[in-house]
Amino acid sequence: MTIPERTLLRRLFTAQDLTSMAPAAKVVVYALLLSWLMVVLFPLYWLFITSFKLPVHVNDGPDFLPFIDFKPSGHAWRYIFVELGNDTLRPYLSSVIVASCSTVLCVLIGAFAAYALVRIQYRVKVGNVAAFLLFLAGTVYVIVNLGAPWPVAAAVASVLFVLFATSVGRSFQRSLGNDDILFWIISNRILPPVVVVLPVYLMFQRLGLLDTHVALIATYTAINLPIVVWLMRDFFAGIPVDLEESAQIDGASRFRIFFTIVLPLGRPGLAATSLLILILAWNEYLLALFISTADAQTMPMLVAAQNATRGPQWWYMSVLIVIMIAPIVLTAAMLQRHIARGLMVGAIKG
Amino acid sequence: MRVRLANVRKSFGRHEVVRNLSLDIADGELLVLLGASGCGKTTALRMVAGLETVTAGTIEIGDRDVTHVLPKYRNVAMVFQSYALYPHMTVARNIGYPLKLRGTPAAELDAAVRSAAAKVHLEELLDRYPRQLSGGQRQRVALARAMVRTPSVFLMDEPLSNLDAKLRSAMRAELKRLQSDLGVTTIYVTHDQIEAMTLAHRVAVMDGGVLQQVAPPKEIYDEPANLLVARFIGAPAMNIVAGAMEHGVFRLRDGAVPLGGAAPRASLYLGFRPEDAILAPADAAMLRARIYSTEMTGNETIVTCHLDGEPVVVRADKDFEGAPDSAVGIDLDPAKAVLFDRDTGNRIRR
Amino acid sequence: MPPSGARGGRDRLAEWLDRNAGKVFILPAVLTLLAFALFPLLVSAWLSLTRLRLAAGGFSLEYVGWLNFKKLFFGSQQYHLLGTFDRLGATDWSIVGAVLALFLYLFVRYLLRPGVSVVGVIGRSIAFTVASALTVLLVATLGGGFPGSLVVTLFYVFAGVSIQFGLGLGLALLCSQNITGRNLFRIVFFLPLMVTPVGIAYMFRMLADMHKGPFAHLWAALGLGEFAWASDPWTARLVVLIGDTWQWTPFMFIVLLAAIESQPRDQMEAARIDGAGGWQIFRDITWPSIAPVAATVVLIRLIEAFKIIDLPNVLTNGGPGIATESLTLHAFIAWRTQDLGGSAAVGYTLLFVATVACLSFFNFAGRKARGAAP
Repeated sequence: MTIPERTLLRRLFTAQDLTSMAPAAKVVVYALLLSWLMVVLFPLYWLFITSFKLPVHVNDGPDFLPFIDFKPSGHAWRYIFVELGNDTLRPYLSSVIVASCSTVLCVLIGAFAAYALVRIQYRVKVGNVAAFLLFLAGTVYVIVNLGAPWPVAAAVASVLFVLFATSVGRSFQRSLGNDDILFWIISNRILPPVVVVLPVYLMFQRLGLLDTHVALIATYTAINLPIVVWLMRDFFAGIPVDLEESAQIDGASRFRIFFTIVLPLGRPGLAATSLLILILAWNEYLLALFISTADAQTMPMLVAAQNATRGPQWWYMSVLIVIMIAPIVLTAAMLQRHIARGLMVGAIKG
Repeated sequence: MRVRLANVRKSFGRHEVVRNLSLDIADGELLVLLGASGCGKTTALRMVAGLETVTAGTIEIGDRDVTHVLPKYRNVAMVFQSYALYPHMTVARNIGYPLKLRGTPAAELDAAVRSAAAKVHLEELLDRYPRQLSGGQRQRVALARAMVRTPSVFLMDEPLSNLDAKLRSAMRAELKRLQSDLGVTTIYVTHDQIEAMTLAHRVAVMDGGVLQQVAPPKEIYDEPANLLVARFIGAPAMNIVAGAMEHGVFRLRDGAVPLGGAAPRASLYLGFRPEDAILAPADAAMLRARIYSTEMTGNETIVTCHLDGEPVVVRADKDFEGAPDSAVGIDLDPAKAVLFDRDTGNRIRR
Repeated sequence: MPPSGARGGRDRLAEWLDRNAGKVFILPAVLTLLAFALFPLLVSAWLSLTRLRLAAGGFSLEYVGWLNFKKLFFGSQQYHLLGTFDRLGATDWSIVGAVLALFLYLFVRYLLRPGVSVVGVIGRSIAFTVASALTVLLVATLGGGFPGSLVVTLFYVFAGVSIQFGLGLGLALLCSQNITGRNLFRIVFFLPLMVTPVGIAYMFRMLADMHKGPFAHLWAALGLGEFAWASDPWTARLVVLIGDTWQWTPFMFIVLLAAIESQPRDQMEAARIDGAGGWQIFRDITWPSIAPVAATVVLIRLIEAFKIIDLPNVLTNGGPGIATESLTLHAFIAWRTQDLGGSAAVGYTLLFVATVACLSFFNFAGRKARGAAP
């Protein structure tokens, strides 16, 4: 018995049942996905093999397959790790310190604020906010234009503001709630770093902290804070309030509750958020460009600086980029398990 | 320990949830706060726990005024409707958490956990996580966690409502026994009148934020303070019919009940329980009604009749048979009937 | 029983902390943001109105009013920020006229609606004015003139975000089909997000190399072997855009895929049983359920896209000329040439445009998307 041609064609284009696709559609879907897979992987592959090429292999036009088109060589790796040695390791260590410290600090501070915004009701008087801005502007004016020493001016302004807020401030009526605070925190992310980096540069110059890890850590913590608050808020809001109240009655303080109940239960969110912040801090370029010049130079600076020396030396550059990608991928793989396990706990919580 | 609420009020904004609540709970007493959802009973309990602030009035535990004391310093234990077990801790760590917060030495803590677990038959499950337990087992863990230290007061917020019917009645008996063995003052919130009747030393019925009556279960049942309590307690509920007193006889359109004694009065309600009435031949009975429907429950038949156009329920023998719409008479025990003022809703003493 | 009478100083401190937990929890975040966002923002505003010079051991300041902005918008730096203008022809004028008419129509329609608010009117006035000004700018510089860093940034932002959203959504839809190897795709597609943008810049320079790159034979075969993309403004911008797209499409993909996978399954099955086709299911069920997430992820990308600097700086060094310079890069170059006031002014321009764009998007598209959700 022969199947008529029309039926065959139709079978190619119709699904067998509700959950599967027509064979032709399946082919198209796979083709598209695989082509994007190539788009993603090929540049990384090229990068990887270039790090094992000799200059002659690069300059003679494209060679694609190691061992067949060219013989892999470790010369670039040796150069970066042995001959440059400390010149590579110092920025690398710098990056590790800055990225990890700022991630931990940022996630901690951000998680504090996110939790507080979920569970505690705030009322901030509009009048006090306006007064604070006026005091701040006044202080800046006094410091910049009248040359007052900044620690004195800041201290005087703080004292004056506290006095104001506790006396006149009490009579203000209109107040802002948690949503307004959240909006303000998140809206800070719209600020382009280039707007704030000049004063921050001057500030660190005054404090003598320019080109130090501390300066970079503090700045990175600040610029990534809005993201942490934004993401962690949703995770914390999903934790049943009963658990916290129960702990409260059992005798736990807010801080105890935060560290023994809320943080462990927020672990999947914490892992995902930390990974994102780590990536952002590890790859940050603009602020490092301004704040770190030599001693605290980070890896993106080192990579970017490759251009200036003796023309593009692709082999060295590839090594640097590969060793920059590696720790992030490893961390992601490590956290992946955490994220998955945490999610499982969350999904069937009692 | 004694618990005293004096003129306690709670408002959320303009909405007053608890109005002028005064309660005196004796040492070792089990008091049940009973009411429909939204009647303010849970808010009252949470104020005793310290989870809600008190708008006005005072709360004392023992001889100590705890109105403004943080929950952790009140030494109360609470069982939540959701059990509020910490999903990331084992059963043993869940039970031991309140002691750990108090810095109890490990050996002592371990012994306390074991003995608390033994009281609720959980010894085998100490290493499990809450998600690996059944509903009844989780309930026991919550109880054990409350009992592991000796609190001044147990607070229970609908602890049995998440269990299925069979388990609920078993746990009810167990709870009652545990409470009388431990002798700890207990405030128990529920909307289930069977739970209230079976467990309580005294029942406090709340409605619309107002305390309606506090009395032992039998008194609540037999001598409801007002119509609200009368209608809420009992299943099927008390029958209420409108009428007037003339010369010691309660008259309504389709009959009269000789009550004796009371002064003549125009607008009254007569209340009687379904079990205090019997069905009789229509022509000789006190009240003349029509059968609306009959439901055989096994040990009896619940007969719904229409009297003066209002439904009236009478418990009859399980072999009772009566066709819908057939005429029937109702005789009731005048000694057990109660009278309510139609304007105030309060019971009138006879 | 707590020993209620005999609580020590430590306990009292603990209780004080507990009672003031609200302040203690949020203060670190607020102080950090005050020190590194609000305070610098105010100082920066002041700086943009001054001429500032770094000197040995400090700096000197001189108040110059709006001079920095005047220079950027109307003076010697106009070519750099806005671009070189072309005389507007008939077609240009008709485009400008049409766009202005559209904004006017939207504005009037809003005014005639019930529930007009002061904030709404002011917000729309600002949004429409800025959008109209940008339209004139785009028409005047892209036709025959030469665009400045503002126009180039807008190109990166709007072209980049739309392409990334389209690709991300497409890939997410493909990946949400019932296919094997879904997890592999998901993991691999995530990789570009982890690569440092500076690295991406070099990677794409390598790939786009006409002689040594992997496509050298292809270029030669097409007769393009001698073509220098880095010296043509539009191909240079395109390469920057490709690098940006390679990095950020995964972000859209991941978030949109999560949204698609969490949409109610029963609705989709019901629709399928009712006989809906793929496109109808997408339009009537998938899209409304992912619209709020889509609006959020586009908003996030908008915010971040305005800050682009790494790619153009490393990939093309802003060149040819200023053809690929973004606003942030422009500000950095101004800073490097000791023009700190000018740098702050460029930064503030960027802040203003980014804020108007993001708030407009949030209010016009974001709200609507959220309203469309079930």
